[in-house]
Amino acid sequence: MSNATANNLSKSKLKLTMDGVQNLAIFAIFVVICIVGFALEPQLFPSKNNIVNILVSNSSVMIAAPTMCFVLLSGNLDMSPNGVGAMAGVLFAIFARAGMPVGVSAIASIAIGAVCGFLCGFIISKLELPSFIISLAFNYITLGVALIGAGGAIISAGLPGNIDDLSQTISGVPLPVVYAIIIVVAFLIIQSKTVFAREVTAIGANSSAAKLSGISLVKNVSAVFALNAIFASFAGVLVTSRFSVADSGMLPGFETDCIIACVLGGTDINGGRGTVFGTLIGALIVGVLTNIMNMLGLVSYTQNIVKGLVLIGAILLNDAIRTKVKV
Amino acid sequence: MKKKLNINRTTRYNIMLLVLLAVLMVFFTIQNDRFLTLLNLMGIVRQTVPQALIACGLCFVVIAGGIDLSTGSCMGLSAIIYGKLCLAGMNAWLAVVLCLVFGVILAWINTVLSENLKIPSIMGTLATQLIAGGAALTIVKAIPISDKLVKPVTVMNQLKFFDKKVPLAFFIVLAVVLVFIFLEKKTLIGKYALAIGGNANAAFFSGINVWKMRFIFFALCSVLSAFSGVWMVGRLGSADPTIGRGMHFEVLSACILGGVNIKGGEGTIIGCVLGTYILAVLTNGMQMMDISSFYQQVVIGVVMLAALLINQLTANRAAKKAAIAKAAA
Repeated sequence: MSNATANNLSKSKLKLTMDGVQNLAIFAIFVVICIVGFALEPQLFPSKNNIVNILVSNSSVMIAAPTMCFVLLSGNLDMSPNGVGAMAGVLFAIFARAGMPVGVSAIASIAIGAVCGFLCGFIISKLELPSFIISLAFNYITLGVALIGAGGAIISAGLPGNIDDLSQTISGVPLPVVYAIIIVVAFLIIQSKTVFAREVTAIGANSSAAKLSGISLVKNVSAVFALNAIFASFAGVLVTSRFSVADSGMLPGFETDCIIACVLGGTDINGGRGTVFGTLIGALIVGVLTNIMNMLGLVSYTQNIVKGLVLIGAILLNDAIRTKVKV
Repeated sequence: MKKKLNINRTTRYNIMLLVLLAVLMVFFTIQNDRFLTLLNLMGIVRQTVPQALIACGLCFVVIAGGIDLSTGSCMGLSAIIYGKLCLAGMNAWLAVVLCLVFGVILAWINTVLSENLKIPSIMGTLATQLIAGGAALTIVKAIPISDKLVKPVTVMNQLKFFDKKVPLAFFIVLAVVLVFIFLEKKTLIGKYALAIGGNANAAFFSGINVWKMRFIFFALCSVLSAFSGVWMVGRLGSADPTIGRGMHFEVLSACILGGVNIKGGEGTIIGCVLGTYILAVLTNGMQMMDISSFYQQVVIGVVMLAALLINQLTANRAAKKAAIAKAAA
């Protein structure tokens, strides 16, 4: 673990780091999957429509996965994106229905999501409780709030007509994809340039060492969870805006999808290792795989089997790279 | 060990749970005088057979520092296997036995993933959850099997004793809980679970076969899940691939509420059973008070959070006390 951090810190441009090897391997797999898709459907797969389709349907995961990567980097797990996202989406619809401007209601609902995430991270780091179970409790609570807010049904009547402003398609480019790209680029920069990312990685690699060297666990872990909640909420708001409907079950299995994207991208679930770039490729791999399976006519529940196998394969591959490859 | 008068923290926590359960029952009885009737109480027991059985099995897995998220999918797939075998003309009770064998196979896969391939069990069982759940739905194309041939097990649900007042479910739960308490207190399984959960490496070097023990824990959990799947077929009269949806979290929260440390090394079967019934009584009582089921999720989340906070704060206090005692000595 400490080796990994040391590697990260002494990243030189000429020498390939462990993360570099991992990212290369993942990128190669991504290319292979794309080639397979191309071979199966030479006309359909590379069409502009299909590519936009993959990106749009994958935008929620691409928006929340970089912060999930940070959560995993800090050695924690967040099971609450599903609930927090649904709560934010439902609150967004309620605020908009009550006559608040769309932008303001989006910001208000995301702020409420952020408070939940902050509380979750604060409890985890302050009381040193396992993140998995605390975030699971928050998932229950937020999902329950979403259910109560929507009254167990969907909210579609009475929403203002301009609610889909946030997710329009401007000259052929859907806004959710633009947001996703901006967020991923922002987090690529944050990971390579800021002290915050280093501190989070240090906490994940060895939390007691990080603490003794003066890194605040409470501050960083709370921030990481708040960030993740912000982007999960944003994803929920975008889904609501895209379909002009709020439903408490709008993001089923969202946390699993984000975690799978991170793990596929080489993030260590024990913390201390992982890259936003790898996570992006992981998310794209899941998106392209889903797209190919859809084209082959596999139904969503059969795709779960493939997802499970991919998850196992990804973890084994990461382990193999970490133990076998000497850099 | 010499018996002391002061009771340890685990027992104190269990007593607290018992008091909480009693308070809840008194509260709901005041709200609705039909709550504390044998009919309703037995109804609660009948409705929560899967939760109670799987909580017992999951308890050992979590105490030993693992986790099993595949329980719900295991229920679904076992129900489908049972249904398909019955449709193929097999004797229903033989099919039940084969379902239990399926549970053992799933446990073997979980063990191989976590012990041989070194995948943390939270990820390994998440993968088996996705695979088993997907397989259950794929086999039947998401359509429940409600053929006449799957009906034989419905007798399990209908069988009642003592003036047709006490259902078979009560005896099954009682027997399983007693067996598990026996396993925990009187056999090495309980001791080894605590040892492995406390420090798996130390357990390994002191001669415990960690692989075998983990397999036993996963097997107990999966076999009970598989049985619960068949039980649900008996209750519903049809084999539905989605019967276990969300069960893994429900059971896990019951165990956590029951004082099992998610990091391993701490927990009791009695606590898990109490946790299960606290959640069950909460759900039932809130239904009787006409509180919309949407609020139940929030309540479950808050109760879980409160239990964790209380447990952690008392643990911190106990640790501090021990440190002071050590310093004084």
